[in-house]
This record gives sequence, structure tokens and C-alpha cells, in this order.
Amino acid sequence: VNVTHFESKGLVFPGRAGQLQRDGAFPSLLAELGANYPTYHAFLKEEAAKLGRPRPADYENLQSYLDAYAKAQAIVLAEVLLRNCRGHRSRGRAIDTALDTSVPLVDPSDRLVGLDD
Amino acid sequence: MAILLRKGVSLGAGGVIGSRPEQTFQSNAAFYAETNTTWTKIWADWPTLQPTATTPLGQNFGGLDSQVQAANAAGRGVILTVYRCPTWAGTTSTGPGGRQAVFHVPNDTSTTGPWAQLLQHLMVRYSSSNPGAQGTVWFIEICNEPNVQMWPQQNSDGSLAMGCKAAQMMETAQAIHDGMGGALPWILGPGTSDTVAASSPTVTRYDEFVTQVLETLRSVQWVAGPNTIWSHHNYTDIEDGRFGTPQSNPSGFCIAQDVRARLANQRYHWQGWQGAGESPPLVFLTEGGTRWPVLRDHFGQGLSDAQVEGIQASVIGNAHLRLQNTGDGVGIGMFFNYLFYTDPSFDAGLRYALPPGNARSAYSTWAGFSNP
Repeated sequence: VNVTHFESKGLVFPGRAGQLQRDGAFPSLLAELGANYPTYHAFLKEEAAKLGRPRPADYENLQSYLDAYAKAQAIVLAEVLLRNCRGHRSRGRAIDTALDTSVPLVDPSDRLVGLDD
Repeated sequence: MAILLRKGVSLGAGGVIGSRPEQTFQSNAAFYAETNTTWTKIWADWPTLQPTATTPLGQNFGGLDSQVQAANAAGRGVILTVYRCPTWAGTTSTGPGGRQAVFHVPNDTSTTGPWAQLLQHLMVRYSSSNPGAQGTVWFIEICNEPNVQMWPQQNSDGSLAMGCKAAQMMETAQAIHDGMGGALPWILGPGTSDTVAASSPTVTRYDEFVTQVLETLRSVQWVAGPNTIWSHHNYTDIEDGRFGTPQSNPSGFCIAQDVRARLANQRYHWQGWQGAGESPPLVFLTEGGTRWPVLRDHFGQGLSDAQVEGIQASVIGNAHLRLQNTGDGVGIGMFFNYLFYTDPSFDAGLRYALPPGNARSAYSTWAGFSNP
């Protein structure tokens, strides 16, 4: 994840992270995400479950489908960001390091997977 | 062996950018006919088509439309390769090794970003099922050699980055295509460079790149759909004689087949287009050939032009023969040469640069290849 170009697509974290996100306080946001991975992962998992994997037939038109798909992509990228923030806080890894694919982001039932699952 | 080895010649991007008028389809139409080459590759240069964020898509498409239409009128199948990124959608900075800003990856490659809007526009504009189409394109290749030409290749800690980005581009392109009902044009990507150079801030070695793309897609349970095909650029196999005789290449190693083997790994569930009686997973070689400076590196700096001409014709001929007749061709569905009129800065053409633009020996070799 290129943290300077994270496209939220309307996805706003709850609580303190959401406030920092709205304020554009990016360094503080990253610290907050890194310190509270379980809380924010639970939020993302719920958002992903509500949305599911968008399929064209489920939407009225192309644009609403593409909007939903972009939000689904943003949820997954937010999980990547969240994992990287935790890795940075706990192990000093770079926040924009490569995705560690040893733990998948999505399971075969399209549920968002967490590092602690 | 390859079942259907579709034969194509790529034009240069300068034909659309406007810097090289000899690289338009119209300037090469006679060569396609003379060599019985049924496929062409034309470039959708994004900075040319949409120089500012407020330029309406379609406004600057006249030159591209005319080339697609000319190719259609000549009965050639068209691949359109999405090329470069305008600074407004990426960056105004230069990258590692002096990489130009226009080779930065688009910042937003989601299904609603400006890159996706360009793809969507191209799919509608050149769709065979659109009564108002401005021509017909068979395939949109979504990017060009992301592992050598685009940047950044690495994250701040030196870990690989480009494969993740390319993976999202593949996902986005297929999502748009699915949303539009699966008509032509189909999706080709990611146009891998076959570089074997060690990964660095400017390059990601082909095998590391391919693996990262596939691992990233696997991580989100993405499966290549029936209208998606992996595209790969193929110079090294040909120049290194990997497509030579069994005697010259006893190991039998072939990069194009190595890429295909990675797709075939069941870990990745790659499906993609199943082909016309071909052997999936299919790989389309959408660019390739032999670069004269590389041939001189391999075979001797003191070689005359006539000698290099002969080597070029020989190695391209061997490559085609091997793809058609040996295991190196299994699942390979397309074979391209880069350029008729060569570009002195990337000298792989089947003809000399203008002037005089005369045919090289490889031109007649190419003309002799069968074409399904």
C-alpha cells in the first residue's frame, strides 16, 4: 500500500481513527491503527460482510456496481494498511512494505481474514 | 506445440503520440498485407488522449480512431495497449534512475478512479456490440511492462511493490469488463517484461514479478475470468537462443513456458480464456523479437549489418519453428514482433528505420510464417 495515496472511496474508520482520518492527521491515524488492530479489523470485517463481493447482476446499473466494487477494494486495501501499521508498531517494519500473503486477505467465502483469525 | 500461433506486429507508441508518423497503422498497412500478419498492436497513450483531468474522454481520440478503423478496414485484429500515465493522475516527480513522471503507476487503480474510467471508455468506444463504436478492438492490454517501465518498483524498505499494483489493475479491468457484459474487447495483461536482471529500484525480475501478481490475486481469491488472458513480452528467449535447436539449448528452459507454468500452478486457480481447442492456461506473447544491440552483445560487436540481419532472421525463424513444433509452444496463443520500421532506440524492427526503411532479412522470414 502506498500510504500517501490510500483511496478511501468513502470508507471512514469509526472512533478515533475516523476523526483523525477526517482531520487529515495521517501520521496519528497510522499510529492509532497500529495500536488497535483488533478494533479496526472487526469494523472492516463487518463492512466487507455487508457488501460481499459485488456482482453486476446485483446492481441497477454499471456505475453503482463499480462504486460498490471500489468500496470493496478500499476495504481490502484498508486491511493491508491496518496490518502494515500493526507490523510497524510491533516490529518496526516499514508501513509501505510488501503485502505478506502468507495470511490471505479474503477467504474462499469472501470473508475478510484477520491476522489473529 | 502451439495450436494456433496468431501472428502480429506491434507498432510503436510514437504513432499515436505523434512523434513518429511512420509508426501509424496506415504507414504500415502494406507490410501487414505483404507478410500476411493478421494482428496489430496500437497504443492508447493516456497523456495524449487525456492531457488534463478536465479533458473529456473522446475529445482527443481522432488519431487513435483513424488507426483502429484503418486496421479494421484492412481486416486486422487490433490489440490496444494502455500506455503511460498523465501527471495529473500520477505524479510530476521523476523516479529512480530518472524514470519519467509519465511512467509512474496511476495513483488510483480502483474501479472508480480515472484509470478505470479510461478503460471503461475504451471498452465502450471500441466494442463490437456498440452500434456507435468508433472501431473494433479485440483486446485491451491494460499496461505495458510494469516490471521495467513503470515505477515505483519497490517500497521504502526495498520490498517489491509493482506486482501488487499490477494485480489490482488486473482485478479492476476484469471487474469493469464483467460489468459491461463480457463483449469484445477482452482483457490482456499485464504485459510482463521478460527481464532477468536482478530486482532493483528500477526493475523487477520477471519471475519475482509474476509470483507477486499471482500471490496478491490469490490473497483476494480472484480468479481470471473467461475473457482474460495473460500477456507476456518475449525477447530474451529469442535473443539468448532459448528457442534455438535442442543442441543449442539442452536445458530446454524457456521463460515464456516458465511464466505459463506459474499460471498453471493450482495454487493460483488461474483459469482465463480457455482458447479455441488450445491448451490453457494461455499466454499471449504481445511483444517480442530481437534487439540488434543485444544480438551484437551475444554474437560479436564487430558484426556487419548484413551479418546481424542474418542472425536476426535465423533466431526469429528458430523461435517460430520451436513454438510451432515443440513443447515450448504449448499454450502460447500469439507471437508478436516489435515493429516493422525499426526504432533506432529500440532496434528490433523487421525493416530498417526510415530513411530508407528497407526490408531486413527477417522481414521475408516473417512473411513465410504460417498464420492460422
